[in-house]
Amino acid sequence: MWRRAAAILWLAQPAALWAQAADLPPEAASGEPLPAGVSIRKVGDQSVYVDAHGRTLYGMDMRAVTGRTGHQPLWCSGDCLTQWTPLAAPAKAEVVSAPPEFGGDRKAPRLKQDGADWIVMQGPSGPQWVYKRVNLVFTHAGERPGTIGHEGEDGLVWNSLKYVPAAPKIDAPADVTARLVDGRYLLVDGQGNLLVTHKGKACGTACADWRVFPAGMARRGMGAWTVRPDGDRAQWAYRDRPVFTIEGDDPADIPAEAEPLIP
Amino acid sequence: MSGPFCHRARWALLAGLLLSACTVEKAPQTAATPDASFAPLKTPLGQVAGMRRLTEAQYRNSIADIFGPDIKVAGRFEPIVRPVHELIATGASASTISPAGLEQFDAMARNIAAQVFAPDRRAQFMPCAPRDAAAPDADCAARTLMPIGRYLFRRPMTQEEIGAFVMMAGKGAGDGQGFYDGMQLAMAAMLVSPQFLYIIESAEPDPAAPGSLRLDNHARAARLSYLLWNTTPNEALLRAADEGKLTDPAQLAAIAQKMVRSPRLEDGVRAFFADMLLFEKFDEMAKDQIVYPRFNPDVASALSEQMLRMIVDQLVTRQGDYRDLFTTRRTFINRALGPLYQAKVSSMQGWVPYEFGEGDDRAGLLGQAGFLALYSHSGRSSPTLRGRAIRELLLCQPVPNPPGNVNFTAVQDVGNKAMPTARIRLNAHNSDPVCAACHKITDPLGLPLERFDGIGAFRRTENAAPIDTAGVFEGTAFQGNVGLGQALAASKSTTECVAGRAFQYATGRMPEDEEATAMALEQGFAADGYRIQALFLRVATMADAYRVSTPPLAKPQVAMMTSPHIREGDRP
Amino acid sequence: MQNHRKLILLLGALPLTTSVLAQGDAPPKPTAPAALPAPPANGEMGFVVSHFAPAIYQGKEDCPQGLAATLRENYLQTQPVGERTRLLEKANEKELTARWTGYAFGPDNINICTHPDKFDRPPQRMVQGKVAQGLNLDDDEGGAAAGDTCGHANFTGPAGEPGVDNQMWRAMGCVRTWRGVDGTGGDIVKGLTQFLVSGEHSQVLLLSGVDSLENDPDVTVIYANSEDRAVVDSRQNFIPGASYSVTANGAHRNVLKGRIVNGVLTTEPAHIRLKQNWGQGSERDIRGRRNEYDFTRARLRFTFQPDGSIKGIVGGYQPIWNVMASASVGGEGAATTAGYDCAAMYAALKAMADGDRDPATGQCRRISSGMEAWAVPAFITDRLPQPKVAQR
Repeated sequence: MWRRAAAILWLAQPAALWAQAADLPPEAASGEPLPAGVSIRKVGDQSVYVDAHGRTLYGMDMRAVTGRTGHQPLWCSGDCLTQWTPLAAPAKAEVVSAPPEFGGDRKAPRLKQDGADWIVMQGPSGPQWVYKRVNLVFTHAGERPGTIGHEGEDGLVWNSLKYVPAAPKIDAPADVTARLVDGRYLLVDGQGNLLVTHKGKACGTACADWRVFPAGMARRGMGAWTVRPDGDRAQWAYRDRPVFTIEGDDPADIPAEAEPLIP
Repeated sequence: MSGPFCHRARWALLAGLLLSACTVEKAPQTAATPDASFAPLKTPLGQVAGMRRLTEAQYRNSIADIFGPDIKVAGRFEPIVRPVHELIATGASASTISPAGLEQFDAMARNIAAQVFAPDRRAQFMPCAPRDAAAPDADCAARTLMPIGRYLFRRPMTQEEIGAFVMMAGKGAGDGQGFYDGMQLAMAAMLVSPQFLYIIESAEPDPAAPGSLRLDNHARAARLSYLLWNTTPNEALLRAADEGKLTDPAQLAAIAQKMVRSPRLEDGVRAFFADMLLFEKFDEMAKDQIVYPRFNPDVASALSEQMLRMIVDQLVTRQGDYRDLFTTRRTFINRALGPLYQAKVSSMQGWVPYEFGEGDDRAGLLGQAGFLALYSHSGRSSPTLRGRAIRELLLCQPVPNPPGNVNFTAVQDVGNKAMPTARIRLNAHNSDPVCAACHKITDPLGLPLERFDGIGAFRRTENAAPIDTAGVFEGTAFQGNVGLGQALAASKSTTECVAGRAFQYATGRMPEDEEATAMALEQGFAADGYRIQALFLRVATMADAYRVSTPPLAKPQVAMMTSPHIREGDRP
Repeated sequence: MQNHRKLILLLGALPLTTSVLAQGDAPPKPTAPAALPAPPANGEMGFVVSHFAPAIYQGKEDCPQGLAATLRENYLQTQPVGERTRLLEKANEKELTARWTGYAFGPDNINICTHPDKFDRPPQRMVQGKVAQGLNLDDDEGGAAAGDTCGHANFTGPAGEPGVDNQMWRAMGCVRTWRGVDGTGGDIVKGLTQFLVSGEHSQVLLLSGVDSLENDPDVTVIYANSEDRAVVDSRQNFIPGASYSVTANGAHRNVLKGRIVNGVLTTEPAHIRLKQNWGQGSERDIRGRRNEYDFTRARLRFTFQPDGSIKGIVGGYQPIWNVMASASVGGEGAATTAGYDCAAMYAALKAMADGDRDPATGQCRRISSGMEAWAVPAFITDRLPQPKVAQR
């Protein structure tokens, strides 16, 4: 029956599985083995996946071509293939069906590797690697190793595949987690504020105005974390040094006398 | 409620309330240790001179300080009733908790205890591990609960209290439950105990004045901490109390001095002004969405915070003169408030400092949209409500309520083209001399604010008619909000009022000789350059504030007991 | 797939203000800008876009055979008369539903809205009238192919201006959810406004160098997205005087050269790109489908209003796929629930496309479009794009 409905959007997958495009924070690698020939290389101030020749790998974000084609995995066909070369998967690799929202068969069985970092789908030139489920992997014709010249091109369709190391397992209290900041993991509190401590042996007067990372007075610490109950408010210490917080996770805001906590 | 869990909870609650009446087994004697956390109270409990219920903010701050800010407090708080023309702080001295309110506290307590003893967290709160997690372990329970109890009750627990809670933990661990279930139960009971929910002001004989009483050391620690930082005493303060330092005026002064210099004073100052300015009214403020469609929830929630930020900046951060609070052009603004002030807010998130232009009528506390909106009707401004608020809250001059038979038609008819402005409408209303008597007190202070509408937005005209912002206060005529702010800043009534309020806030009572105390405080306040830090230090250290004049109250459990027949063995 | 969630967006159900449209029987006359506000002291004027949707003109002669048919109607047309009559009987409704929804699927289970190019269906009914809103994008009052355009028929604007290029409206103007009825725009207007309110498509304008709202030969216009959510009142109307920041994404910060003549701001042709993420639903942070408004040879025409707002048209050539992005993203739901015959829609757009002609095939890949835009005063903080670090 006709209903007064202009559009029906099928939204799929929580954001975590989708992230990679240039305007979203890159997702951490799962740590699983890389496809043969793929490695990680530092280009400028970031680490990216590269092919066997050291050339930057790009993901063609299938979300970004939605509405420009009916079958997203095959969007880069024809002329496009003179510019972009699919990262071919071995001929015998098990091929995962494209997700139905990208033109795949909605009745196709879901394979166990479907949620892995690196899967194989049928691309414009045969089986090709796909990273984080939505990024068909390509290299750009003529691009020299060690360069990223096509970041975000064509309305965020093309995005370099950034390598983000898997988050370290940490043993910490009070909602402390590790967050990737400028390519390395730093500890943040439950609100995402960076945790810092003083440089050198003693704190001096500099940290008198810093915001303490509060612990409960009744807490006893754990592992490398201890509680200092004697200040205005009980404070966490990490490896015997008092912990403070700064607002936000921008390392540029860390005072000169302080350094971030590294897990 | 039904089922075993609920029975258990009710049992915990009642047991908590009845503790001191219980016959208990001896608490396990822990090895002699210099750590005060592991020692029971050495001296007998003092006489109860007063009890003040924790406010919601105090409860939350206390839990965060004791257990850590990652322990969440979820639940609704039964409000403390404000006595007419007084502070919530004074209302707290006479506040009971209804059965429904107690149920809320019980739910919160169980939730907090469950978080503390959750598998991934409990090791951080325990100096020991139970011999068998499936069975009671009185020794480990005692060693865990004693330091927690010291923080929750703001003094070491008595031997009897320790015994009772340990017993409760043991019983809670039985019946197929484990050790940690028992610990949760015992701690939840501590959290609904009056020893935690009320700041119990216990008294001891005053050696300097035989026959009279003074607050004892631990009561003084709580007084200082909740007054100055709005939270539970920290370890240093508890230790000073344990060591008897707080009954020594010199040592008390040194400690208070240190506390008012701490950045934590901000919390105390916020709480004081939120109480003095009736900020609880923000929770129920509603605006007519037809008249003020742009008054959205983001705006509503930003108004009180803006006022508090301005107050803290002027009085704490800058250590400025209290009188300048009525004239300063500095405030803070966020994106939600931008349109109301027609101001550009560059920062995408949070608050940024903002300074009104010279000549802008926005200066001072009374020019903040929060004050103007709070003391307005839902669909129109109100010079009378604003004037009354200034009189009562900022000058401590109570205004009588209007008689019941007043005809408000003239003032309410905001669409009447013949009477386009509030001033004209009020003049018509005041042709009745009964009304005029009171309006003479309020309106000259409210009419200067008429260029701000019912949500505090600026307007040049009302119903296309120009707005006359003339006002008069203590014989001086002035124009607009800026003139009003200057008039208030110049008045002794303003500074006397805040000084008197600070005393009430600290003690929960009116001074015996109200006028003399307020005047004396005002003189000291003046000598200190009207710095709020100095005023708080003064009320935190004045001997009169620690004197107990009223006869001691009955024991708390008698006041709280719901049934005199329940004993510890009566577990349902 | 077990992780997939289905969020259904019923744009028609959103409580929004109704736009008042130009209608055929009452073409609005251009009014002289009266009592305009004074120009800003610093020459800067900011605005937040409060309405951005296809410019609708409901001419009486537009759709003489009725609105564009639904998939159900088109399916019935494929049946012999007798069978059609039988299927329309109430008792056979279930069978009819199964059959017309089945008509939305092709080989390999592909659906008609995700793959409209794979279905060979005749174009949907198109606008036959002569008047529509829009701008003259090819600077030509005729309709012959020239440069990289394809042959097309021009509209006349509601105020009588010749040479209006708006083939998008010609192709889509008989679709019920676009056209709407009786002066009220279709559901697409409400839906797109909701995207502005939610912050998903937030657009801002920052004019600088404005010396007069009547006439000024040299004005710079920054037309950009903002990541900020709209500040709206209880009726979902944009509140004037709110603050927004220009997006950090330099691709969506378009710097245009403009001039003001008789209270009307126009800009020189440029490539305008703006974000158009499709992620509206109960969770605002879902950034699933990303797309762009992508207008080539685009220009703005805004008229200053006495209340401080501006109203006008954004025109340009956009890829034909973008016009039906919402339906395409909607996939089978757009076909079987909203009832779109996306293949007929695609065929119409392809036939009417008049820009970006492919030299090899002669087929045009973009279509001239007119979007109606309104904006209210706002404080806009510009953000220059980060300098691109050379990494080649």
